[in-house]
Amino acid sequence: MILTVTLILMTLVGSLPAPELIDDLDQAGEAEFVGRQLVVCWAPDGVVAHITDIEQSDGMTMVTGPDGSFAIGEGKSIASSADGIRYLEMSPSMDWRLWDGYVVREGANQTGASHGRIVEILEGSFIRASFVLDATTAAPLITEIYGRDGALYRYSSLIALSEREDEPMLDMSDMPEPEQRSPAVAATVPAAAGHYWAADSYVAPGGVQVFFTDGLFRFSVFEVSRKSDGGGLSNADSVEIGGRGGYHRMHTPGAVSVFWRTPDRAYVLVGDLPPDHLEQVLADLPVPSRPNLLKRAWRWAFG
Amino acid sequence: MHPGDLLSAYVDSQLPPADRLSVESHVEECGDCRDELASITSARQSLRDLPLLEPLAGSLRLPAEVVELRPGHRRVLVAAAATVAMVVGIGFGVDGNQTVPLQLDAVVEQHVARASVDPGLNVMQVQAVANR
Repeated sequence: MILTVTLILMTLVGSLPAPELIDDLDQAGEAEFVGRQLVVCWAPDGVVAHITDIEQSDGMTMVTGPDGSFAIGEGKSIASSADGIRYLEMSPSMDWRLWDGYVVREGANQTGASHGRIVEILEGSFIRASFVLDATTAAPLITEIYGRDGALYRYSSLIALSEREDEPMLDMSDMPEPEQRSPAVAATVPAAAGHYWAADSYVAPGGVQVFFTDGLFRFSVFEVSRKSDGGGLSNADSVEIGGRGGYHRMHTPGAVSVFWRTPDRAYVLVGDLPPDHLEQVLADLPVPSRPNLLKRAWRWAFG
Repeated sequence: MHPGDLLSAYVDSQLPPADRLSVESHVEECGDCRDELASITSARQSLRDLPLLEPLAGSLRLPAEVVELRPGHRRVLVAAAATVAMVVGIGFGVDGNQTVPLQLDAVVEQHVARASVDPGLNVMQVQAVANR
């Protein structure tokens, strides 16, 4: 009896994230720095990588590339290009929590490097994520995300890191009025997928966005018209995920995008979740299928 | 690029050799188009297998010219009309060939804007931005 109680207590205590480590990770998001970021993703379809100039300040992160700049933070998304400025602002309220399947722990410094603190996130018995945080700025020097098979899935490293000068990152005086997104309800997206939970949902371009999180990774499912081209994703090769065909998948170094159609709707999933999580999530979302011929003819004839 | 409407023409053997080869090559690689091709072929076969029904007298308001046709001719006319409807239906986007464009950038921006509010583990935010 005593042994059972002890084991239960140990299990409960072990599943709780260590508050100070969470604070470290949270502080990493608030760190102020200028640098270059290398991101590599060993995606199932091949390796993708890029290097971008990155700047983080005042809770905002800005990436600058040849096509313009993009800044996010505190619910704001500001894209600036030759076409103009798109400014989106969202103001959800939710209590953040980490999925209880994760355990946060201090990692062992195996490299002997003295410039960073290592934080690891375990999922069951294996390491799902590992962060090396800069001792001075708490900037995430190295981030590693692993698949269930233990293989490295995504790696990012900040290089040429320096402290930024004390000047505003964005000139907000030139900004147009931000677009606001009001809450909306998706007709067919469930409240949970895999171990992820739907936090909230909003009106989105062409449909409804449902935002899912497990406290570590996040993704959005956009429920759109069946006739949507999925932002060009429908032209990507069709792949099988979790034994089901009909998915169109594309990886960038930082995220995966998946598009599929059901007889009545189409869906775009965008997020940073690893492949084994993606497979579990898709199993709980509407599955790809085609309308039968009679329905197709009816829809064509009568709309 | 998916062959779209060319699949219908392919099934009807109406494509020039070069287009035919192009469709065959694409279908070998693309599961969606393979399904589409199977669906069209199956529709054609179903149409051929349809029994020719005699319309009940007085059940349809048919033009006088049709009513005056002999039964055999009427069956041909009904089958032809059904064929035209099916071919046009399949060929002109019953299954969404007329697609509605979606701005993927706008979708990604909305996702990362929402994700940036997530108060925990903001370190991951940097990777989200790297999506660009």
